[in-house]
Amino acid sequence: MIDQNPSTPPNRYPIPTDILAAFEAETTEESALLREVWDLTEGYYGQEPEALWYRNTGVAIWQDLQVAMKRESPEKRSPLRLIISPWKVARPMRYAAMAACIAVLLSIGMVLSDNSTSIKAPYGEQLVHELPDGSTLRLNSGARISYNDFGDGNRNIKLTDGEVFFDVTESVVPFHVHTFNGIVTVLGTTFNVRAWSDDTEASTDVSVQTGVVRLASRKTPDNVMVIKAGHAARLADNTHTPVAVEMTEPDQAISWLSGGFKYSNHTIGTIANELERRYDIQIKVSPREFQNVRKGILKENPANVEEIIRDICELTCVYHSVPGGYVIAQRESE
Amino acid sequence: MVKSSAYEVAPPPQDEAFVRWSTRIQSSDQRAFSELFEAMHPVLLRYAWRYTGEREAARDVVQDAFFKLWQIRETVDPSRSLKALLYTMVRNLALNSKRAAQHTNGVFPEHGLVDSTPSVDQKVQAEMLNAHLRQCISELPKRRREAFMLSRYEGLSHSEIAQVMGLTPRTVNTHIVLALKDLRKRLGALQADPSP
Repeated sequence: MIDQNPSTPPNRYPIPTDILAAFEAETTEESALLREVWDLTEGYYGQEPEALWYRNTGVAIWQDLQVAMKRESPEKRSPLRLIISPWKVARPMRYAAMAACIAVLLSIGMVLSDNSTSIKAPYGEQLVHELPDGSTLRLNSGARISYNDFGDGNRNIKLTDGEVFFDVTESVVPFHVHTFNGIVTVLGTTFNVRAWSDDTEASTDVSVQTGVVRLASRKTPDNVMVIKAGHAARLADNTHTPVAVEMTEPDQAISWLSGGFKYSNHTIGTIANELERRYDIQIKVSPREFQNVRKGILKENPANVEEIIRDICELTCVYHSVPGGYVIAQRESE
Repeated sequence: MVKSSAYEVAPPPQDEAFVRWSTRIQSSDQRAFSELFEAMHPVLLRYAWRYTGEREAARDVVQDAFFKLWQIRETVDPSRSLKALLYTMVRNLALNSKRAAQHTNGVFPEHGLVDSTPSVDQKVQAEMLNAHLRQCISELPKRRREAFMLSRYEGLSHSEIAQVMGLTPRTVNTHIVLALKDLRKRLGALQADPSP
């Protein structure tokens, strides 16, 4: 199925044994193909600077380093510029690093007061944000979050509204996401939270990619549901008990990360809200009650918003474009 | 087409060497530091360059990382991987410099792709395949791609990647296996539907 690239050289790095072990769960054919992928990707080394550059640059860096090392003493400031290091650094440096981050983040719509940080992803855009603990968030269009700087050792995020994919750095300190009706607790894992309080059927939806996630209602925080990787759960607005959700496709909840648009069994009102945020347009649904009709839409890679609306409508509604958006109207019954 | 120059960058040395180096560097042994620099600067330059997409920025990142390592030498723990520490430093510095100038997402930059010398058919095919490879790899989910690339192109062990990315080795394994499966699907589709 996959042809060996004729010019692919021998592997510089062999395939790790842990990965080979994982392949044993696969069929012989699949396992062989996955090995081939490893071999095939060796060709990717192709485009890189020439060896001469590495050598010359190395010599130049080493000269600079020797000068810097001679000058270096505990009292003196580093002749090189301040850097952010991955481990605990001296207080002043941490503030310098934070100041640098803030300067950048301000330009993408981040508001700062005291130690608290608020971020909003504009309509029609998605944002990536890194937290002080190294966790990364990806905010879907319109999502709003806020947090204190984690300085007191807590890891609490408020998801005011919207959808966020969390990649949480592992730590003994629990990481909490507070939505309008629920609390999501993890130690270190990747998961998606969708909590729009203004949806026609508002709920907090959690879908777990790796690790284990706990979901509880704000009102009854002891009533915890444990969600494992590959599973999803929903906490509806009017209940206090999360329930498991069957997914039509395993990666459905996070298809938005790769440009997909997938909502199975949601109301037209909710889907229209999503479209408005994703594409920064306005959608009018008529008559109003038609918003409560349920639809499923699974688009891997839609070319544009119209392609999605066309699929939603099929036989049940008509649509036409208006300045700044679309009108979706229910078809008259025969 | 893989240029032979790509292979002049030697793979990094064995783990025992790093343990010896970190013990010696901890006691301010400049000679050990220069040996470490000699062994690691090419791979780290390439790694940084992949993030920054600019040679000057990559150079700064690697220089800052080594200088920082020298400054904190007394706190280096020989029982933790020095290699992973270097990669972590370079990664964070590169990500920082990337924030200032948005670049490549950790995927090899485009330049160098077009080879102006006349090409035989096979070479063209290999070029195309590699271009598709880059495309497929760049489309992997971010963390999945990073774990895969650290393993595949930097030769880091699972526990080293875990240290760099702040994950458990198990999660690292999952990320890499999923990346290979993703790639196999994408590459498989490519083979089934050859572009003209």
